[in-house]
Amino acid sequence: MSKYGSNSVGPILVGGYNLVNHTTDIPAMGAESVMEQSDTMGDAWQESTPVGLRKGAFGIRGFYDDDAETINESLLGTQGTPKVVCVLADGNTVGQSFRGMAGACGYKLSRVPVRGALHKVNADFTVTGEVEDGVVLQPYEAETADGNGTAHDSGLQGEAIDITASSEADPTEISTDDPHLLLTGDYVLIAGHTGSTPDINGVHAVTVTGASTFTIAVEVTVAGTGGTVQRANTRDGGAGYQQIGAYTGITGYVGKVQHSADNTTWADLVTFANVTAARNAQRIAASGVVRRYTRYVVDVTGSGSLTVFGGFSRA
Amino acid sequence: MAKYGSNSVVVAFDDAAGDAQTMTQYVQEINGIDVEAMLEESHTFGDAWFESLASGLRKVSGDITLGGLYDDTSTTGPDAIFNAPASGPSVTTRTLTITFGGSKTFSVECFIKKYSRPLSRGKLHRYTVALQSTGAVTEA
Repeated sequence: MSKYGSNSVGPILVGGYNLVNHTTDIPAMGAESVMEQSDTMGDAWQESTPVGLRKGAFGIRGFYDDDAETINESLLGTQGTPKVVCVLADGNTVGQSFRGMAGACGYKLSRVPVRGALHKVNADFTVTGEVEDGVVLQPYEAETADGNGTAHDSGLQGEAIDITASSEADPTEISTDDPHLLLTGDYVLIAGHTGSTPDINGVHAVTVTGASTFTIAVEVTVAGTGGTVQRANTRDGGAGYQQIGAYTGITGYVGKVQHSADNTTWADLVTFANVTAARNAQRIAASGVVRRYTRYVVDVTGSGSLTVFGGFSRA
Repeated sequence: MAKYGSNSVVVAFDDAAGDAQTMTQYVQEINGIDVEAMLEESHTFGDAWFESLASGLRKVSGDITLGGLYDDTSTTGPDAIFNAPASGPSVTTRTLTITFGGSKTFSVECFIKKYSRPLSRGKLHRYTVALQSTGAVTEA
C-alpha cells in the first residue's frame, strides 16, 4: 500500500505522551531550506541560493482534554522545553516510516472555546535541530520482558559491481571489473561467485587495497571468478529514537538499537539511557557505518510493564 | 488558438540524479505559475500620471507549490522525489517542466525549499512541496 488515510495514523508521541486520540489535524510536519536572493548586477532573472540552513515545522490541532496524562498536561506549562516528537503517520508496525524531531519547543499553545462546539487545542512548535525520517523497529506497545525485536532490512546500497576474480591468497583479494567505490570497514554481499575454494559468497567486511581491489578475511586456496559485490551498509550514522509512555512495577529499563550485516551476528548501535519513570523520550545519535539490518532490543529490570516505541533514522 | 483543461497538464521534475521524472499522476494542485517583471516608479515632478519602467530583472513570483496525495512509492513517488529540502549552497538545482497543453512548456531551475506532510482526520495523507526558482524561465 503506498497511500494512507487518517485511519493509518499510529501513535503521535510528544515527550512520552501519545496524543493520537486527541489529534484531529497535523497542519505542518516538514522541513524548509532557508534561501537568499543571489542575483547580481547584469542578471536578467532573479536567482536564489540555499544558505545551508534548514528548519523544521510541527503543529497539532485537536480536542482539549484536562484528564491526567493527556493533551493539556503534556503541553501546558512546558513552553520552551525541547521535546522529542515521533509521528507514526503510516502505522504502528515494524518497517513503517516515522518522522522524528529532537527539539520541538518554544511553542504557542491555544485553548479555543467555541460556541456550540467542543473546546479545541492548537499547538505550534518551533523545531530546534533535525527533522528526520526513520523506520519503526519497536511498535509503541506494552512490554513486560526482555526480547529482541523483528529485524528490519534496509536493503543493499549502491549498485552491484561485477567481480573479475578472487585470488589464491590469505586474505584473498577480490578484483572488480569497474571501480567498486568501497571504503575499508564497509560490509559487502558477494553473490554468484564460482569456482573458489572455499565458497566466498555471503557477507564480508572489506579492506580496500585499490580502486578495483579489496580483501576479505578468507583464505582462498583455489581462485574463483565472476559474480557481483554490493555494499550492505550505510556510512553516515543516524539517530535512534525511543519514547516511553506508561511505566509500572519495573525498576529499570535500557532499550537498544542493534545492527547486523547478515541478520545473524548483531552489535549494539545505540544504547538509550536507563529509564526509571514514565513519560521519557530520547534521541541518541550514531556515527559511521550502519549495517544493513537493524532491530530494537528490550531489556527490563524487575517485574511490571512499560509502553515503549523504538525507531532508527539513517542519515 | 486552443484552450486546455487539467487533463492536458504534464508535470516533470528532476530526481536527485538529474533525470526528469513524470510526476503528473501525483500532483493535484499547482498554485500558479507567475512570471513577473520588476518595475520601478519613474514618474517625476510635473507628471500627471504614474509611470513605470522595467528594471531589467524578471522573476517567478513567490514559490511554486505543488500538492497531492502522499505516496511512499520508492524512487519515483512524490516522497522519494520531493522529500529533500536543499541542504546548502552546493546543491544542484532541479528542472521543473510544466506542459499546459499542446506543445507549450514552462521550465525553470529550482531548489526544493519546503516539503510538508499534513495529516487530517478523515482524509488521506497529503504532501506539499514549495519550489524556489532561480534563474531564467524557458518558455517553449
